[in-house]
Amino acid sequence: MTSKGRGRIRIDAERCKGCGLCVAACPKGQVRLARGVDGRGIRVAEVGEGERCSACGSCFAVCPDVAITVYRNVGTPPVDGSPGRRQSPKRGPRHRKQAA
Amino acid sequence: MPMQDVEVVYQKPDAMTDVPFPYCPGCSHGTVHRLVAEVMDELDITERAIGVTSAGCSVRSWRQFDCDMVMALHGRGPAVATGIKRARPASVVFTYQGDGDMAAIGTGEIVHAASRCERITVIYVNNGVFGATGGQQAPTTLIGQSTTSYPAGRDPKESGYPLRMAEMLSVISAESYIARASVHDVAHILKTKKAIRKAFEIQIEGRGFGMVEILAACPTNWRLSPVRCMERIQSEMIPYYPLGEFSSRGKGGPVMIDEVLIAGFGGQGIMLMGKLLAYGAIYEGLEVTFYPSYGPEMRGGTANCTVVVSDQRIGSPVRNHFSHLMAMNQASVDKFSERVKPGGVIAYNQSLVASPPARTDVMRVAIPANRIALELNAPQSANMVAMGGLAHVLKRVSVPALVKGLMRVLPQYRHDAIALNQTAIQRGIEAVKQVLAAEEGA
Repeated sequence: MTSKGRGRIRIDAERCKGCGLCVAACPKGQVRLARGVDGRGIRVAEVGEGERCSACGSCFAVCPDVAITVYRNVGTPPVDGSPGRRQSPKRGPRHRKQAA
Repeated sequence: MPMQDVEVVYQKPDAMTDVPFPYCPGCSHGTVHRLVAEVMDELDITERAIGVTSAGCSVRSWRQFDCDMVMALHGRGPAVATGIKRARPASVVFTYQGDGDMAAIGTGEIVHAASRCERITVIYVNNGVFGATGGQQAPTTLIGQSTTSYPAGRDPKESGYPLRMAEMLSVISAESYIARASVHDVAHILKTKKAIRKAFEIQIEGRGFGMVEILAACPTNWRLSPVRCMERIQSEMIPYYPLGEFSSRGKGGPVMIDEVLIAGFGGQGIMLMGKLLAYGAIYEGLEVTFYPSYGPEMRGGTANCTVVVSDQRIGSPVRNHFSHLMAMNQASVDKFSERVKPGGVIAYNQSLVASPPARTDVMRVAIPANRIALELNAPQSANMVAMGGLAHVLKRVSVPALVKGLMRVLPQYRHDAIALNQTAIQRGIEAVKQVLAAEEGA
């Protein structure tokens, strides 16, 4: 999955309970709930059609089930002033690792 | 089309296990768990953190944190955490409690943990209902709020008023960090994390008790969608439970606090030294506590007293570990040397101590108190010689303040001895100066 924006997100469909907080939090309207239900009867969150994710981390911040991972495309500038950007100084090798 | 290189910017913190949360959709517990785990990652304390879980929805939060966890009896989290922290002072101890646990059955424990200024961190999640048992009214339920036990809403005539725990605890001690935060939107979630981090830092630095109250949503028992719940926190809860820091040790610079243990046997004038140090510090404008401990005998038994000197209000006169030890005899060196904090000072009466303290991570100061007192032809003034030496390494109390203190602690008919005592104090200071100069030269 590529993105024309600065980043993208991955939603762990097994952790997601479909509360919809990420849908409300995304400033670009990039997240939505699935039309159909999964095996548990839950309409899980999914990434919409758009490719305008700025990797701001709002969906990650509000997700009560920590089901979202946020990636930023290497080489794109960070989003200045976006919520969470400066507040999450994740250090250590794990946070630096390159995703496949 | 080739894959773009991407890096992870936000992901599940390491201090969290992979076990999915057992909570209802939209429940704020998960968000607070993540914030605590992120703070543990950032401060790198997961290895030495010990969490205490409470009864309620978060009862099994020991499955979520990748650190050691203990499950306490309902409401007793702060008491259990007290025991853990006192037994293992190097660990970082936190409790994770809901309002049904902390503000209802556990109100006593939290108040006394705060009053003792235990070096623990309390994460208090307030959603205003008893969630796990089916949404009954809690002490924190808002006026008029409908619950399963009071469908017509909380009536203060019958059920009283919602407990504001943060405000209550904030008036107990200045050595605390008490804050209230909320997780209803991104900006407040980030502020909540800052508060949690501060509460942990204050514990790690040994500065005081930390409690963060977090306003949280319970979509199931509020009978609202998760998004509407967040709006309700903003519109209904925050007006009653204002956010902010209520008692903050985080403001200003570090706190000056010296914990002095003076120990010896009865008849050496141990209590007089303690009282004199305490009065001297009072005359220096400092906060002081004096805590004596001795047997029924005036002479011969063991005696010690703890004097805490600080530039801020003091949480407790009782200390388990000390920054300064003044040991007047061998038994006190043997008994209390291990209780001195690394980097602290052990001053000992060289005349009566044959085997000096073995520790190398503290400053050791030998004061030949009895020998100097004999030189002054006043063997009973050995304690004042030691007092002078202690005051010199303590650097908080000047000679004039001690002399003023002497007038206070000596009875009127002994005031003729003040000049002699002042000389003894002066000799003690000179003796310590010589010792320190010799060490520097060496």
